Amino acid sequence: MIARAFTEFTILRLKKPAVAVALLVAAFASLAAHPHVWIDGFVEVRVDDSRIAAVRAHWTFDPFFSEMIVLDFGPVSNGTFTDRQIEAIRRNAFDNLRHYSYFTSLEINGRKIPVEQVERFRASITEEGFLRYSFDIPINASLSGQSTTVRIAMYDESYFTDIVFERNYARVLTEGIAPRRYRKRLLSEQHIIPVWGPVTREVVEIVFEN
Amino acid sequence: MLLVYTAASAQPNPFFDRPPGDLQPPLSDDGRAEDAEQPPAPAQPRRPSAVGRITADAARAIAGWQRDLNHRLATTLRAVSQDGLNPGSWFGVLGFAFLFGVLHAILPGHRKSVLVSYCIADRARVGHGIALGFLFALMHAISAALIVFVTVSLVEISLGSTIARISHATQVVSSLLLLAIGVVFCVLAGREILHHRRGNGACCHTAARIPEAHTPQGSSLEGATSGGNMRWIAVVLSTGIIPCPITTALLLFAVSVNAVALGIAAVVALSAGLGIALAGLAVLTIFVKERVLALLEKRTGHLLHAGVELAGSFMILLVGAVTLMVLV
Repeated sequence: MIARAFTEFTILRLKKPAVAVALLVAAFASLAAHPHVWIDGFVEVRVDDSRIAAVRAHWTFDPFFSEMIVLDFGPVSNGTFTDRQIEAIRRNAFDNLRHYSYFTSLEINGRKIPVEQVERFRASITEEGFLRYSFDIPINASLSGQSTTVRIAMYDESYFTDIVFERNYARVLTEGIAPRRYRKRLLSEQHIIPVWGPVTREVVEIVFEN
Repeated sequence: MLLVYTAASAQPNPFFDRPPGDLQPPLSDDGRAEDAEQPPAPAQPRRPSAVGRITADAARAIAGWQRDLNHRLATTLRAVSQDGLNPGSWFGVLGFAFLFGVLHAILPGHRKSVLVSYCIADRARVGHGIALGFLFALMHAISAALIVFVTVSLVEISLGSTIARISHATQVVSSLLLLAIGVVFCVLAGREILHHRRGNGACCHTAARIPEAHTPQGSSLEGATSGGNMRWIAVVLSTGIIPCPITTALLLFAVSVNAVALGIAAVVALSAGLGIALAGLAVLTIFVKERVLALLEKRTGHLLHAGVELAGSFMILLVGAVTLMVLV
């Protein structure tokens, strides 16, 4: 009797809204936004005697965004912005990314490292004429145990920006010591972003052998 | 659900806007939260289902194609500014822009949810759906062009952040308009349900075949149709005022490399691509809706009813059996 009443209510009385809700849910699944800015990235991991000092990220933007920044912040001489222009770019077209953790997810040995501040921001124009941002993410994590695994993912959860790693996606820079042994690989992972749903992100994994 | 989400998710540009609903305390100059507490332990990442993985892979592939087209479009526009126009340039720019528009519409976004919802909620025909798709795309492009050219003409401060702020404001206005339209739709739908409940409860009609006598207050179908025209015009206007960020970026690029005419032509081609994809989606939605409604009218609907009754009875039996096994 309950099943009959429920069926009558849903199918016979609310037929159209039920169909509407079902299709709405399907459409809702695709509500996520699409990219409007594209970035090609690579990272440099700086290590010294006993610690991982920092990760330096390099982002190369698409031509449209590059041209917009040049239009906004002034002409470029020999691919170089002045210090004043760089400061203006940092304040007006970069600092806001702190609300998005600078699009960076960082893990060391499975422990997530919050990305709340960056240092040494630079803006430049590549030889091909594209805008490049470079900045340090300070880490100061010790290299201990048999190995240390660093995982770096760069993606925009709002999906306004699409970030992929370049062919030469990572380098390790050693300071003051003999080069460390390490293995690196670029992984493609899928996970669910709140609201937007399943997305593919690229993750750089570097395993330092201590 | 959809309308509340739409109002809440006027999409910000991360380079200029804070995320919606961002309640985090402001950061001090050294980047640390001023009253930060111990951060909570991060949640374990959720993994998508098989369908989700396929969707994510497809979105990744389409985003990659867009990236390539973006570069080709920019390279061609820049070449035009340096070497001048030739037939090959026109073909290249319009072709890339058209393809870019199609791909851009396929990926999620551009208020396709509103388009789908409208086609479901209202008595849209196939011709309606096609017109809607192209009008959506055209309005997106026109609003973007207006914002770019007004901003370039009048504003001397940062174009990027100004355009982002204007875009955000139009999205808020659009969301409010959509909320108002949604309320009207819900009221009209509620009145129709009440009308059916007061009338013959077994009388079932699809959206496309309601006879004149069953329209609200016995009004003529012609009168209802003209009201429907006003509704879809309102939906197009309220959604289309949001400028497409890609269109603004393309026009800004064209302005900066002194290829304005070609940039405008590229926007028209991009809109055509957008329109074709959106029109296709609208037609598909109308088709699916009509088929589903027709299916429920037939014997299959009664079978479904009987099946649900049987499943319910079996569940009762199962609960009884399990309970007995636990007691004995």
